[in-house]
Amino acid sequence: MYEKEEQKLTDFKDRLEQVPLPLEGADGAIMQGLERAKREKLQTHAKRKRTIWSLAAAALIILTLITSIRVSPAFANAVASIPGMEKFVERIQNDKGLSAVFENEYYQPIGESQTIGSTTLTIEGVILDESGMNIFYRVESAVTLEDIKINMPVLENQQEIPPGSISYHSPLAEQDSPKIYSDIIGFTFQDSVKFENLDFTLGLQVKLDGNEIDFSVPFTVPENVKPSIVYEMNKEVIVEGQKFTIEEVKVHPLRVGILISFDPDNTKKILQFEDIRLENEDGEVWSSIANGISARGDIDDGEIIYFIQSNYFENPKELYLRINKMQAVDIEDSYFLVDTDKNVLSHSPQDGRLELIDSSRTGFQMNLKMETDQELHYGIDRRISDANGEPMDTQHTGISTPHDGVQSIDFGFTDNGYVNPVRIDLAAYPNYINGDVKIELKK
Amino acid sequence: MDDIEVARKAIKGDEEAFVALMQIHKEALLRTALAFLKNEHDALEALQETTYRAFRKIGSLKEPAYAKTWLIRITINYCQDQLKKDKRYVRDGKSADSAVSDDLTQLELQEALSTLSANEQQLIYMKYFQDVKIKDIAALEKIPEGTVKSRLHKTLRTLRSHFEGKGEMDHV
Repeated sequence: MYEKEEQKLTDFKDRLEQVPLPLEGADGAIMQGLERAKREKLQTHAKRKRTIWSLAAAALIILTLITSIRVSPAFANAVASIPGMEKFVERIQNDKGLSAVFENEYYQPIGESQTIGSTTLTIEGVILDESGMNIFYRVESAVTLEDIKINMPVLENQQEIPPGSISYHSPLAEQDSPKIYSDIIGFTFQDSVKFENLDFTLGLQVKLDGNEIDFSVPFTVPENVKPSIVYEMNKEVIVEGQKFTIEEVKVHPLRVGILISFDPDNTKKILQFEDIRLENEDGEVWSSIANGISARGDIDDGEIIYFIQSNYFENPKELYLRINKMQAVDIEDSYFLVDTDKNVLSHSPQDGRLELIDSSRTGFQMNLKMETDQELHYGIDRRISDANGEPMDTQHTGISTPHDGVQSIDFGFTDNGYVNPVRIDLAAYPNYINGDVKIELKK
Repeated sequence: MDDIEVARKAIKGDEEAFVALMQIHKEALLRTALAFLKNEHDALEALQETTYRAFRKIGSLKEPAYAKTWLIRITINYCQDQLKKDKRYVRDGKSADSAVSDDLTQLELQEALSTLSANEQQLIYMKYFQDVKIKDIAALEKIPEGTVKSRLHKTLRTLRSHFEGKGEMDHV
């Protein structure tokens, strides 16, 4: 019917196919595009995972670990039966504890929504326990949500909600349905709490097309929390001469919190418990570090709560807390100093892994040398301050995946007249002490 | 490892596989970019931008078999945005490499194509320049095959009326 037009198109195609391609520049273009994407991932990662503290009392370490994806049929069935849950499957299945929450029907559907203008916020459901509340929500709009921003989630109850941390993502447009955006807001309470009255209000500011929409959605959680299980431990452990005490293990449906205190006389700073986990009598791992917030507290205060995935719904005969590998550095090696005026690294761990690439008043880039096939999965900064101990106005921090045995580290801050050198206290570092800690959890 | 396996690994976040995927399809992507942007420098820019966008969004690609078409779509989207920003690509032959557009019939066709909507351009490009099957276009767009066909007809009709409405030499 349109032979003539089709012929013209085909001719054009033939012609195009004879045009020489600039192939010699192609690989360079691909690598540049990739580097740009990786750099931006690194930066937006730090920005996207926003964390807000109601009280500045405690510091917080955010870790993102890559865990393997494992879908159990029970989980798939449990989730498939709940409307609106498809979007969350990937996020949930990464967390064994969260998956178990669904398998055990501990997720509570809500379905309350509020429409302002052409935008609707719907609370799909929640998971509430004594340690926190995960709110599954959805934003829908008549316009594409490409530039949507989520700000300052606030949870209210007639009872005071203990301060803690809030984690959520800034949306990325979904290709399939650009007019719907779904995410989970995770409130973690600093202290365990049980609410008398289960009427809550979620406040959320949504920025869309330059407009700010302030949602406030009241909702009632149908059933109160299942009680958390508390193990008083009080067991002192010594690994390579460093002493710490496992004070308490609290098992909540959403997470397991392990309270560890450190001996002030230690010669090393223990930065991370990389493989802290719960195992059953056969050595099968029942619970390990989850994505997201993995610890709370500041090592300088002498104690930290580590969070691992929950095994709340599992019932092994015996349960052991196991630790083998810890990141630890000599106290003197637990920080580094960068003078951004002189562009020098004036103090750093003695093993020479850290190298300053470039610095300016608004940030610096470093390389961290790693052994082949090794990767540090943690952000290395715990605290960034200037010579007067004032916290820096940090814009972003990030660490890349390894390339030729090197991980790139990037810090950005505003130049608010800070005084050099900038001090970075380490949150993580690839230096280890090894032991074999095995403590039974007895009810 | 075949192309689909490479795509599958890339979707799972394997960076090496992602680079391999880009290598496999770089020629098609450069050709796509050249068809729209008409010069090598901008085509390489487009390849870089496609790599950048694809790496960020590769997780959203559901079906490894459609990786090539998916990448081409990203390239076309980018090119169309560029063209929107800078009309001179279409209007002013100077910014075009002569090898691509030194022929009047070609110029006329290109002008006709440039009057189509972004979606129609994509459709024509996929169908006639990349030989993507109607069935696959339908699957990728998640619309029935019949819809693809009727859109295609409508688009060809638009092209025809453009040719007929304008004399062959009209635009010189």
